[in-house]
Amino acid sequence: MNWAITRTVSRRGASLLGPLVVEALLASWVVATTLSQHPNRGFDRLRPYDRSGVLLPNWRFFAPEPAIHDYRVLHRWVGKSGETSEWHESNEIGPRRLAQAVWFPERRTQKGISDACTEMIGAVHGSLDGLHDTVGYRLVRGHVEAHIRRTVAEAPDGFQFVVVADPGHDDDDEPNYLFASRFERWSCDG
Amino acid sequence: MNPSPLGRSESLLRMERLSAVTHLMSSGEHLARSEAYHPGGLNDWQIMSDGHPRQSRRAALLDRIGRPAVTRGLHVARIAASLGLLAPTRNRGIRLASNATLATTSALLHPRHHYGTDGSDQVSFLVQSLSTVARLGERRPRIVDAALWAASLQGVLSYTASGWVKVAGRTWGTGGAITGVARTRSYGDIRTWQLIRGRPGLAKALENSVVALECVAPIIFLAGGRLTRPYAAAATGLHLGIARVMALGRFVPSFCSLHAPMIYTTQNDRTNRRHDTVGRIVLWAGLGLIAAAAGQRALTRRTVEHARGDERTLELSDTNTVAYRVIGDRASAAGSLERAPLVVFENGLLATPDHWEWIVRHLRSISEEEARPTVITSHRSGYGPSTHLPGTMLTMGDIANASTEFVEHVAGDRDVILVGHSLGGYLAMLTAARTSARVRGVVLVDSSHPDELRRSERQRLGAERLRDGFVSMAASLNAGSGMLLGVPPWVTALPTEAQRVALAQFRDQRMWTAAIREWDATVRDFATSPGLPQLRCPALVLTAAKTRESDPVQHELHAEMLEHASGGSHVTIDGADHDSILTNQVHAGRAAEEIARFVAACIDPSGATDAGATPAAPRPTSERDNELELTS
Repeated sequence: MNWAITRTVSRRGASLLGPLVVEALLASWVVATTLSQHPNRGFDRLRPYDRSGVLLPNWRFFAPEPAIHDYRVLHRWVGKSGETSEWHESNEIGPRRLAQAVWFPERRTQKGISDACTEMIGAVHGSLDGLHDTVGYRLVRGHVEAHIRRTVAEAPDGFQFVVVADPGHDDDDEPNYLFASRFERWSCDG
Repeated sequence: MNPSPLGRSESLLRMERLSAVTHLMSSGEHLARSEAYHPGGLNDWQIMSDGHPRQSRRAALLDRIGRPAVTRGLHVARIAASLGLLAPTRNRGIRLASNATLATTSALLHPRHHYGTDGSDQVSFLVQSLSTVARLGERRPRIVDAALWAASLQGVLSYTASGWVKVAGRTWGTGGAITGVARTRSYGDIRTWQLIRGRPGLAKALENSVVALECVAPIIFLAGGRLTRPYAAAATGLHLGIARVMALGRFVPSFCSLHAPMIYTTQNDRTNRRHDTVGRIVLWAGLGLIAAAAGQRALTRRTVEHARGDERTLELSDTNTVAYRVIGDRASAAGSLERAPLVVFENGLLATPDHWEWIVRHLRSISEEEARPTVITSHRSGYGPSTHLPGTMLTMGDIANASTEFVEHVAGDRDVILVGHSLGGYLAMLTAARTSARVRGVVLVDSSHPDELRRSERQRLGAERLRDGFVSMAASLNAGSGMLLGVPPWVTALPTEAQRVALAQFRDQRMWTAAIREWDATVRDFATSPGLPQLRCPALVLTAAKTRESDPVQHELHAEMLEHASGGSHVTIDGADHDSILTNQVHAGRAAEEIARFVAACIDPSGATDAGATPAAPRPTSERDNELELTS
């Protein structure tokens, strides 16, 4: 008899406790997200606890300041006989088409360049230690090298790239040169 | 006529279906650009994997996912799951499996696509995770409602946070934000740019409309939810406009998927017998956090005002006060006339006396017993426990006068060495030039120079946004956000005993307010090109190696400082940057060794100092400069 009562009570307890745990967890998550939206990223004290990087959404779109420049990457190379090329665009942004409102895979590449350059420029503004080992720098370097490989007949001796904050369609504003890489020796002949 | 209420199941169905469209588009894009996974691509895992900790189960899993074939396979699975959700079936098993697949693969692929991911990805992950929870507990309405409430609150938060953070910025509302974005080739559109350029009124109106729409999102909880559908319609219009102008099409289904739960949770509906526990918990937690923030702010202020507990206080002639610590004052212990040198430290802008903790310790430990200096650190008025009367100390002259009065009080007839860091270096020079105290030497640690904003582009660019940063910090801390402020590395680098008070000052609004006042005074003073004061004593100029590397002009300015002293030396501290020269134990140790040598050379350790005598000169300037040349 007592056993049956205990079992009934614990079932009822579990059936009440289960939803309450879910509600408490979801409410805590909403509160933690709310506390992680301060305009100043210095107040993002909770974000380091989200090691996955996906649990605490960042709702600060184009805020507090929107990006009003394009990151453009330019490169030049030095041939085997020592001649230096002109500067070339490493990742040209094509004209906007209406269909891109629905289908725009190239946007991922542009955003990737922007993310990598943001990381690299952040490292430049801080300490220069280890800049060339950052993932951002190495990705941009690899991207430039792949572009040269596709466009130049003979493998060069090496190359250099620069990152420019470009005002896009606005001809009245000047591009701002943010970063010039070291001379990068050609790493593959593929 | 009121629209019919949106049911629980229908809300969940709409939410997961619309979000599935985002996943479908996203995985299609990733499959269409598989060159991104190979060398030269921006998702080359050979490089990206270095950004993650190695030798763990997670790393092994990510490496497996990082293989291009596996990544492609996961995207194919995601497309199948998206189609499963879009299919006209209400089969619980299919919908649960599809949601779980999309949520899990979103999380697993996030590191893989880190460079190139955007806001629509985080929304669609959020929605599918909540849909998984709802489908798991589908037989218990309370769990479905909890998931819908969480989605609704995140939706409202996404608009509200985006709006209010824009309000906190400088550009939105000026016409410069939309015009600036529209001119870019990445996110802009030439036709929009041509339409709004030269029409600042139109750009401002657009910006204010966007910001207002975002900021007022919480109104949907008013009026029994009657405003939710109009709000959702307006927000959909905004997303469609953004899709057209900025080519952010994925944002339309991702954000609009949150509208159904927003409608469901705000409507006045008795038929569904909705469970509102999540909404209530969030409301009460919010109120609790406001109370906690107020309590934390009061505790922080108390820690700041109590400081280290052994401070003495001097009231200045303008009624402001200076709290200061005397470290190693043998006179007070022995009751005899103190003959050891007195070293007075002058803090930089937005700095605490605790910044000197390593230098003080090293200085006292490496100096000879009989020449071991008495050290004085202080809080300038407005910092820490030192009080500040509003309307006073508004110019660099006022601040220097206060420092002079303080130094003369603590020095009496003893020999003094002034040591200043950053702006404190310039203040130490001003103090040395105007005081009647027996200043035997000045140490300038990576010091400011009155011409730096004019001659150093790097300094000028850095200074432009400095004040805005201070104002934003002061306002945020005043509003009780201090508990959200992380612990900065410079605090954890300090000795343990100094960390608590240093952190409290960093999280207290007073220091930032004092820094705004001092920065305004500095900018006004530097704008008059006052030049460096001429010192009647030798100087030791310490330059942080990274300051020198990143800004050669600053190194030139430091060299000029030495020219305004009667001898001395200029030394670069290897490996140090502007802050670590004080806060890093090793760098501070090197700086302290130089300072100890300088102090010993400036003051006769036998105790037979003579106020009128020329202090013992350190090594000649030229000799030290040569050393510098050799190490450069």
